[in-house]
Amino acid sequence: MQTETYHALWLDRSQLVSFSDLVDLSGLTESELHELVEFGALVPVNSEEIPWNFSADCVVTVRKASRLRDELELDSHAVVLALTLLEQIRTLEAELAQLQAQQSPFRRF
Amino acid sequence: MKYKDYYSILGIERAATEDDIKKAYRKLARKYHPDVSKDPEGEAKFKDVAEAYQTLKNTEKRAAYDRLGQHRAGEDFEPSRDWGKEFNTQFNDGQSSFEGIDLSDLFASFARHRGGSGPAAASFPIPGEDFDVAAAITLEDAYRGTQVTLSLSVPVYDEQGRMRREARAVEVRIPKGASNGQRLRLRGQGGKGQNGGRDGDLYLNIKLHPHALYRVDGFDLYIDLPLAPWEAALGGTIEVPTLAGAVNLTVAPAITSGQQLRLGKRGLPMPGSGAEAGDLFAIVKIVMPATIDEREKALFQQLSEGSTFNPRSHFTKEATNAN
Repeated sequence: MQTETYHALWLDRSQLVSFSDLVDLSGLTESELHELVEFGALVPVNSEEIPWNFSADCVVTVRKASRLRDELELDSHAVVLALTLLEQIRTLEAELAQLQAQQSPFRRF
Repeated sequence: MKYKDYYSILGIERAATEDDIKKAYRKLARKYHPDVSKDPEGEAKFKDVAEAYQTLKNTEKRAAYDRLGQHRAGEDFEPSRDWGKEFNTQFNDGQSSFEGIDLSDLFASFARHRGGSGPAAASFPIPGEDFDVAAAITLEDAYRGTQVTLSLSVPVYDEQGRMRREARAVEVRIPKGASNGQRLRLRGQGGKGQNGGRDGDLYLNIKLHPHALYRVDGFDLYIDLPLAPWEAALGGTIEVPTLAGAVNLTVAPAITSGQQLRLGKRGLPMPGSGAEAGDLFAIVKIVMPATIDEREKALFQQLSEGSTFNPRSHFTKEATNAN
């Protein structure tokens, strides 16, 4: 089996991607991406300027949107609603994880 | 080739209508889709459900699947040579072997060969498949950066457009900056694009193994700092382990259980930055020895008699206010 070594890039707020990058990486159409921005599921870092740029964590969001559209057969509005609810769940889970991290499990030392 | 009972996977009868198939798929997809399901087996179940739906929703593929006959799920079988001819697949020469092909690959190739969206039939660019892989690493690895070996099963096509899956090992260098749920992208390391289509990408989803000492919140770490009652009373210098090695922490006298002492930038390093890092919080936990000997008991007795401290003084105050 052939083995090769590759360096990976973070998909986080420290990196930027362009609107056309998001189209290429998600398989969504430009108009579908515009709808995601219009309904607030996706926020450009420079919303007052054209062309838009996005933080690289948006790649995760648009790929998720594409899967929801294709695999759950959702229309754009349903995709936005699902993304919004999933983001709320993610935020709540992060808060829960924070509380759990601060909570010492009972242990006799 | 292992037989998969697509009807059973979707929970429908073999005589199900197109509408029944769609309804069954949508119901199961909502239940098991990896983006919405918390079921640890959800992803694998969804893959089976999606594979079954892709075949049964297409009239031609469904007819071809039905002509494979009924077998037990997981049973080894091979389609007859006549089956390849009847459905004009890539196997219609009566010679090609089905060896090394699984059922999903068979129907994926079937679609391409019969004018579907595959390299043998299409002339337009087809992007390669993206792969999503979970990579579980330790906290120490996340702190230092690490290398993981991923075993992938990648589709490869021959000149006739026949797809087979090949095992491929990919070594991935994960830089410092990993935390739970962080994603990494390896450009072009997914499936190969066809007809000039771009190669797919490999996406890594980082999972941190639970640690015996630290609990993780983003890039911040939390550690319990057990103190003996006299250490809490008198304060002092306490050695605290960090991912970069032990550090001395000054604890002020009369510290209380639950207080958090922050060790700045002693948490996980953040990606894409030199010095940025989360913090380490040491949570004070005043603990008693499991047993107290007579001498210790006498010392505590002496302290009890000499102190005016009442930790429950607010009980009386609150009770008075309530009345």
